Amino acid sequence: MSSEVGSVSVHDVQTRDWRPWVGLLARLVLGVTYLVAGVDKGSNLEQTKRATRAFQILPYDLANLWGTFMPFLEIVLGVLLIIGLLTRFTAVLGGLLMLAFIIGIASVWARGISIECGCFGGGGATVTTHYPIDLLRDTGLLICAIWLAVLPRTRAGLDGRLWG
Amino acid sequence: MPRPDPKEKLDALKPKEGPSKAIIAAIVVVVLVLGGFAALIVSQTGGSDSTKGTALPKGAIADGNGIVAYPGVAKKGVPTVDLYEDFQCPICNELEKANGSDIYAMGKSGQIKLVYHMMTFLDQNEHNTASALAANAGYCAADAGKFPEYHKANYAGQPAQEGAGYTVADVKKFGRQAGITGSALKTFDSCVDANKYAKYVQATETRSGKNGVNSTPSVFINGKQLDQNSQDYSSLLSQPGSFPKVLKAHS
Repeated sequence: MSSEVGSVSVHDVQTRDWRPWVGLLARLVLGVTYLVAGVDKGSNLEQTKRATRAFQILPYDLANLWGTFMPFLEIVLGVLLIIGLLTRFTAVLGGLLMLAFIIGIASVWARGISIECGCFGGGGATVTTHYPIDLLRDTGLLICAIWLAVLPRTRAGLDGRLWG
Repeated sequence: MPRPDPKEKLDALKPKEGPSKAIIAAIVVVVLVLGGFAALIVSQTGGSDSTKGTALPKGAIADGNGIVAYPGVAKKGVPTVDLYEDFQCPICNELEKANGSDIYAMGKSGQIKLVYHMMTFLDQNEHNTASALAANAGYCAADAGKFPEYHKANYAGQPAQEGAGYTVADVKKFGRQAGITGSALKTFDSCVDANKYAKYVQATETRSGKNGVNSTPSVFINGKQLDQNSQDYSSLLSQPGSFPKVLKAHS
């Protein structure tokens, strides 16, 4: 496929660099996660607002605002990551967001609040929490974001096609 | 055969000059900012907790602050017990089964001021309107002086499967089981059909959120929330007759 080749820089071809492939994987994992999470949360805004309030970090109105805006932000980040546009910028933003989620979950865990994180829609109080798994997953996603922020050149991304 | 132009090779090595990165980044930022403003507006359009200008059910406190189960009977200086529940919530039913009768008895005899806050967020989780329907019917029953009786009948009739919800016929049946009869029953039925207290139902949900309640059942004794991880909270849900002891420990 000649167009495939066009999206990879000459340098990559010459050195058979494996890192752009890891970058592609990181982009897709992080991007699809954000897209799915954003659509799930956005399809039930009232629930997402309540799940955000359940973290008991932001005051009522601000939590509602953040709960409304976050799904939109996640969808935009997800789409940009999947198509590979402005990869470094979206990776930094997505990484900061992931860091905020990690802090949020760690904070409710430390305060002994029993909630479902609402990471993929749903959320609110629960009897059975699974904070360690939530944190492990978000840490993995944060690593994807850091990888992309450091090495934003990836395979099959729009960045490569537009600017090489 | 002419030699290949070296310029071609050099051009291939040069980075492509696509559209300006700054412009695309600016577009993305503008989209995000616009989304932020939209979120600001949307997040404000949630229900209001104001009940100004609307009829309140008998015993209800204005602005969605809950309904007093036995209005006017609480003795002076007794503890206030606020229960935040949802008629579709199975764990609320556990509380009801374990300690409902004690709670009613103490409310009825004026040993506590008993206030119910019937929340409705499970409607969103279950994609139905059963919580709101049942809450409104409860308020209709309150007008007949039968809120606690309705409350009891509604939990007794809670479907085994969460999310199965209630029909209009279900809540009307609960009203009959609560002992509403005669002309009061007619009023009750039309109140249910008209969804008369929809505004109070919404106000209660919004007010409860502002009070920091995001889950049911939530128990407050004298305005202080009982920790949901505490032993006392779990005994209220599982140990019949534990209410007086827990009340004493927290008031």
